[in-house]
Amino acid sequence: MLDLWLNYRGLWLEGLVTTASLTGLAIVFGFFLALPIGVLRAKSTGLGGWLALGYVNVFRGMPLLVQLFLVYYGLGQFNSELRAIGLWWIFRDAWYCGLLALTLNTAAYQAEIIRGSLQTIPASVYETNAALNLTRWTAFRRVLLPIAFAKALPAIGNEFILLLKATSLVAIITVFDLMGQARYIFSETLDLRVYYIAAVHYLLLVLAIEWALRRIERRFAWMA
Amino acid sequence: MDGVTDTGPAVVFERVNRHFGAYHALRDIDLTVARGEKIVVCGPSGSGKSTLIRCINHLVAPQSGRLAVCGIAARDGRDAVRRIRDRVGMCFQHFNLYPHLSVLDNCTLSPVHTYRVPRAKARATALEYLARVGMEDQAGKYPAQLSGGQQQRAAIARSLCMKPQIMLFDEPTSALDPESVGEVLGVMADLSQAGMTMIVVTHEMGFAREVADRIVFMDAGRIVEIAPPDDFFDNPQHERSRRFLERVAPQRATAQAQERT
Ligand SMILES: Nc1ncnc2c1ncn2[C@@H]1O[C@H](COP(=O)(O)OP(=O)(O)OP(=O)(O)O)[C@@H](O)[C@H]1O
Ligand SMILES: [Mg+2]
Repeated sequence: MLDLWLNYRGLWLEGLVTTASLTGLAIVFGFFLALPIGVLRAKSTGLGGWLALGYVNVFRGMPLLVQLFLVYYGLGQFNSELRAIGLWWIFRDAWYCGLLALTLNTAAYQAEIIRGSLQTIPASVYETNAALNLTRWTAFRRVLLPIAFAKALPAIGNEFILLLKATSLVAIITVFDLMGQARYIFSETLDLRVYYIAAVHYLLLVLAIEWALRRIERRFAWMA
Repeated sequence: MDGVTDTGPAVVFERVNRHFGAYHALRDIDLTVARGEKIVVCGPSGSGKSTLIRCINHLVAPQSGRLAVCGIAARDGRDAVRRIRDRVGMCFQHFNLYPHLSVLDNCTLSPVHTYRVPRAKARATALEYLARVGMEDQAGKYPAQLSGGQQQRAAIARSLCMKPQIMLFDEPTSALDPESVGEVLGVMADLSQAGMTMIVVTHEMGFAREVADRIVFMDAGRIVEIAPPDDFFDNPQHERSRRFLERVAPQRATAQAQERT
């Protein structure tokens, strides 16, 4: 099995980097997209709340694979229009399409996690904010957000791991992530063991995420 | 901070009412608290004690009547509630320290971010108040690392950092073990010595007798009796107060009963 890895180690490492970077970037971009959506879901009963709910329903309501196809093949049809507004570079490239679809998708899940943890913040915290005359921004930025984030951490960590494994779908839209490389190497060698090697790579990435999460959770020990 | 309101009564309630749905939680409350006065509010559970003191800093908004705090009524303009809260500190039964901030950061959060006090100055002030409540060596700790009594003292210091003119306490010792009760009551007694206007909901009758200028006894949303502590404890005017005192301080009540016979 080791020979199978060594012979193609350049491709495996490329695949590893592609998977890790897609996951990492989608998590980060997704988080910052999820933040306003989650806050609107938790706080807004007006138009903003409805729009946020619509977003969540659309992106949680469809399989990720369908979203990948819609972004890569569906929007790809509008190439002249996209060229005109200078966005063609995104939709021409499978990697960018994959990142976009993953980001939009994980943002919907993370938004719901953020909404949930904001809504479990007890009324006493809001009363304390009021009694201390905190401004809305300070209360949000310095109190509600850190507490919500600490509460959300286990669920967000779970979402990260799910997302990492979901990135394997981008192989279908021609991205050479771990799964894409595995498929390519299989076509060269017709050796099914390549999929074991791919699996081990995913496992190692998951272990790395878990390790990082444990380190972060330790910094939030006050929450317990 | 705007200077105009530093004389005159600290708090004036005039026929203040508050409903929660169909429930009438405060009925025609009339009460004037003078500057520097110490008021202890007591009464059975659900009688409206918390609602009464939460009205003062508008955690609960009164629905009718007039309520002025340091001369400011909530209707006096858009930022009136904010100006009232500038002048009123509050301590809660469960301390309500922010769990994610150290004691020192709890104390400096509002001064730094709401009042734009330079961080170094806010820290110095906070350490001063923490020293006053005997917590200066715990400044770097998180609330979860402290005992209940230490947390409540830190919470008192946090309120003092806002330089309030009035301090509200809602059952500050009810969640504490007996040893911690003493240390918190000690801090409160010091504060009262220093001339702070204090309105305290508590079942600590010893503290009430020592520190209070007047006792306010509430039942079913009404103020039933207002009296200096010696009168209230030794000679309650109302049947309800008498029954209440028998329950919270039975040994005292029996002692009196024996005296009388
Ligand atoms: N936010 C609220 N919504 C609905 N009802 C409320 C609310 N706050 C208080 N009440 C009701 O008003 C009544 C008075 O409550 P309050 O908390 O003032 O009593 P209390 O005298 O402080 O009692 P305790 O000694 O148990 O703290 C209670 O019956 C309570 O159920
Ligand atoms: Mg109460």
